[in-house]
Amino acid sequence: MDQDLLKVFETCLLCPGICNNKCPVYRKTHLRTAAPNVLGRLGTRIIRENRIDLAQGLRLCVECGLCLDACPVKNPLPSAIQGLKRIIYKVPESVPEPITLLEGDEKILIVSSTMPAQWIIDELREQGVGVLYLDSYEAREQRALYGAVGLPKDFKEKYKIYCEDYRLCPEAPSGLKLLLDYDIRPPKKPPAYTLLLPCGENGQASYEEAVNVYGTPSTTMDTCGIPDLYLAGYEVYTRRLLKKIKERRKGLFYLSPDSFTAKVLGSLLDAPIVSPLSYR
Amino acid sequence: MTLLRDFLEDVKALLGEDKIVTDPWLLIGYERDYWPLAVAMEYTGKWDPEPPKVAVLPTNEEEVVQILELARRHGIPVVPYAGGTGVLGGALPLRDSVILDVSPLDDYGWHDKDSMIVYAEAGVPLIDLEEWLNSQGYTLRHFPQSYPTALIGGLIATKSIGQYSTGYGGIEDIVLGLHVATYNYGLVRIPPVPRRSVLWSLKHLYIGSEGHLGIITRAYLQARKIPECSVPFSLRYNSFKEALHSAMKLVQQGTPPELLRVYDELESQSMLGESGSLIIGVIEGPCNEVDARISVMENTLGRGLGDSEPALRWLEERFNVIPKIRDLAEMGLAFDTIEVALPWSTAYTAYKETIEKLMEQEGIIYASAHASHFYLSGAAIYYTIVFELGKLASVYNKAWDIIEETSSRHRGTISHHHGIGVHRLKWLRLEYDDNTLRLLKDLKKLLDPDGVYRDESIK
Ligand SMILES: Cc1cc2nc3c(=O)[nH]c(=O)nc-3n(C[C@H](O)[C@H](O)[C@H](O)COP(=O)(O)OP(=O)(O)OC[C@H]3O[C@@H](n4cnc5c(N)ncnc54)[C@H](O)[C@@H]3O)c2cc1C
Repeated sequence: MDQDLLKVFETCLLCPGICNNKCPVYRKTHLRTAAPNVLGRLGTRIIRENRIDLAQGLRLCVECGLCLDACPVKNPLPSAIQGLKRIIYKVPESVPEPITLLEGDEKILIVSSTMPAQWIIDELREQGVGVLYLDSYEAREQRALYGAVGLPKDFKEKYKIYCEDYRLCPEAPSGLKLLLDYDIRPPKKPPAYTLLLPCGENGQASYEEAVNVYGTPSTTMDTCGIPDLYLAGYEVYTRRLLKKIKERRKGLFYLSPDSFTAKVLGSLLDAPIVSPLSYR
Repeated sequence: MTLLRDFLEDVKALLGEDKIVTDPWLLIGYERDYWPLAVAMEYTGKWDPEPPKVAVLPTNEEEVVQILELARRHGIPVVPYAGGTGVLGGALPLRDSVILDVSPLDDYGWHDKDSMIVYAEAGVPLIDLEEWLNSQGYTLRHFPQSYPTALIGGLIATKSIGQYSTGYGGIEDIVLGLHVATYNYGLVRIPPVPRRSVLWSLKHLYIGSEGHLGIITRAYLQARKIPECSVPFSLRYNSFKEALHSAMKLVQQGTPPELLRVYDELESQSMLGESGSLIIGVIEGPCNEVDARISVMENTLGRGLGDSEPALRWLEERFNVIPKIRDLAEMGLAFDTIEVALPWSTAYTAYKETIEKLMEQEGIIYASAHASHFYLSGAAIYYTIVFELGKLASVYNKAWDIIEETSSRHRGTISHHHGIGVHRLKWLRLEYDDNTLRLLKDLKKLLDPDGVYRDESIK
């Protein structure tokens, strides 16, 4: 298993980065570690030298599969990254679970393993396209499980499926590409947002800060019950916050419907997605 | 170290923390570029570089100038980093240097559409700009093999050349204007004009300057209409000598194909599975003009242009370097590519002598070449050498010596388009005589009196 993964990473290590410029995370954040050929180098070192300290770099990958689209040898980097994370975080193989279709979904279905902003889902629904949100990246990271990611067989017969995540339905066209065909404009007013507050004494201050800048959140949650919360790719937008988090071990996290995914989608759609919180 | 810390404090105060990267796991990407030696060493686990301690990611030109000013004040060398595809270690970090990643400078658009001039900041991927132009019927026609990965700033800094160079020239032929960030002259602006006769050419001073004279922040580039017709062809010859001679005739008769590649016997076989020596090419332009040029070429050569199949096959795979590199690595072999340019009068002799000498070396599995950039006066010869990994230490520099020395002795240049980086500095003395070399070094000193830009070794 490790040897197979290693081969995938080594191929990227040897590559000058043919797909780099197609990686939405690298393009958006300009963090070189997120560039797929650098992730290949990271994976190689993690496996060969047991450099677990580098594993956090793997979390920059949102496993969207766009690098694979651009790879001339179709080297399966996203699944290798997923596999390695599974080993590192001792996660069992995921078992696809039956999923109940959301009300309002139509015959065209975009299967998304990451959560697009709610208003994008709403707009698509209005245009007759269903979005099935299987499991957000953040949620997967939170639980470090990668479970519940899967697509029941009968869905494939019933629906014309576009997949945002190639692993769920490798034969289906990319849902991200389909999204590009729709004229989606961001709403003028920021959508309601959920504020995730740190556990303990910093919570109140964070709440006040958020309300002050962005208005009252529609929901609040705190991290008290989620001791080891990762925000995955999200963190690249909150580097400054992350610094704080590192300093205080638990710091300020914001969770909004406009997640990292929404940012990525925004860049692909070439239309800014309004975020209720500025991450700067 | 304190110098670096002080510098960082100042950058933080000026630009904010977001533009600074100091976490070791976020700096790994800057440990090397695509110098094949570094890649081979990393692959074989022999790579133990000193990673950079910090990278700065400015988001506009003014910030680049400010960072350079601070670097000067604190005595910190700055190494610009673009796409990281340079093959000579030019973007390798120096001890206690700062990496300046230009990728966030990624704005582009029309500067003057009537004149087909686009502007692009240094961090714009060439592939983005080309695809955007294509969607409107335009093109730059600049296709180095690193096209999917390289960024505008890196391409100009290394004076890159593309696969269609016989028709459209190198990057120097499409750069109309530049902005260059400096610590001693602020932002140098060279406005785009069709041509300029105002003392010496500042634009050409910076094209190919590899980060030694300042940071290129923005370029104005000449776009053109996508050609109406494109006709691929091939020609088969018994020997590389004959094929090269035909290429010379095609080029010198006046309307050479826009893309032209001549493979020696070994590469014809290994790259395209053909025996003998293969020429492939593409002729493009308005359809009726292409037809007319085909007849001129056929008259010149005294034979018809052959089938398109090998050229089409090559076009399909032209950016896919991975299978070959992976095969070699898995066989425990390393490779390098070294490109020179020679006049027609000596090109073949120099090639022959070089290959013979290379093949005498223990540790070299094979050496081959192709020619893919042509001029009225000569051609670029691009050697590929495959080494036994175990013998790399003893034979690597020797191979470079042979190629550079033979090219220089046959009135060629030591570098046609990869630039100098760090590795090629050793052979600089073969290019110019002592006085001329002194001029080159004095120019560096004049423009970089405080030794801030990249590498002081050419001082
Ligand atoms: C597979 C492959 C194929 C290649 N094919 C070709 C080819 O066909 N033709 C060709 O010409 N080259 C080719 N190259 C070499 C390389 O791609 C080019 O030299 C390219 O121009 C480098 O661009 P980059 O953005 O990757 O720059 P980098 O590698 O990041 O930097 C190159 C050098 O320029 C300096 N630099 C970077 N940005 C700036 C800036 N803004 N201002 C000043 N200095 C700067 C760096 O410090 C470094 O010294 C190839 C390389 C690879 C790996």
